[in-house]
Amino acid sequence: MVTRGLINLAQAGEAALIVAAQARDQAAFGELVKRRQGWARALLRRMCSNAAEADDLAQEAFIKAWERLRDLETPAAFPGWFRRIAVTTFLMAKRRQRAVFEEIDDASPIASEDSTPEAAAGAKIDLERALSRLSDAERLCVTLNHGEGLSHSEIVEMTGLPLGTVKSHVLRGTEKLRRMLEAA
Amino acid sequence: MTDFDALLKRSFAEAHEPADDGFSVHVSHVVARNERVARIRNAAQTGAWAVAGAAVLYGVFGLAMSVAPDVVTSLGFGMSRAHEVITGPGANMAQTISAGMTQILLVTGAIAGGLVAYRATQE
Repeated sequence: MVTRGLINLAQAGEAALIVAAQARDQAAFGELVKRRQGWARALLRRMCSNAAEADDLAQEAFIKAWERLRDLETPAAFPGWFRRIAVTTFLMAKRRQRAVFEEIDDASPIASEDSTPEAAAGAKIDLERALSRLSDAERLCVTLNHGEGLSHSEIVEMTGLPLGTVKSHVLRGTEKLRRMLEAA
Repeated sequence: MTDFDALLKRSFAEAHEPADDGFSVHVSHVVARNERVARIRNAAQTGAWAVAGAAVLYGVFGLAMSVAPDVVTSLGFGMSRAHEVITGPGANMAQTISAGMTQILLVTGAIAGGLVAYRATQE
């Protein structure tokens, strides 16, 4: 069990880890990364639809978070604050790649091959495969809206996209997912 | 909320989250390396500022020598004697200009170096 100063890293709450990391405790930040990596990587994998690229962006986001951690006002705000860094990192990567938020008009059937009894009537989406068939912009907006529970206006504020565009991407992305599921 | 929206939310909630120690270990290594680089950069910046400060002092000293050499000499600066050899009554114009230009270039170079190092640390 790793103990550093007064903090027992394995048993410390996230708030304590964040406060310690703000004081430049690298071990505390390492523990924070360990706890949050699943969520952060899953979020970026849904936005990227490329696991390797998503992991690179997640790493970049965590390093930015370390550098800017002193700007975080309260530990409770960490998830939203980090999500914003992750989304900004994703958007900047797309700009670097000069990616056009291309349209993919592929609504062929897609459903999980390993549906569980818990999923209603076997209806469980193979999420990552389904999301990979959306355009970048649709995937981003659908992930933030349905996955992260952000409102349209929160997505606007985070991405800088116009409100109408966000609404359109969420609607069209959701509709495409629905068609994929119904066709399955 | 439609059934499909609920299904979508549940799919997001139940989706697989990657979890392997390799990722967090790698991030920790990168953070540690960046911190080491930042420390070295800070040391370089401090050194550059020290050089710039010394050069400015040297320039000020040269200026003071030309304005009030007696005062400076009386303060006991060791360099005043060497400076007097160059800029004193026995020195010609070329020696005086050379000494002055050397000081100006030294000061300018040191300040520019300090500014570059400062910019590098800010980035």
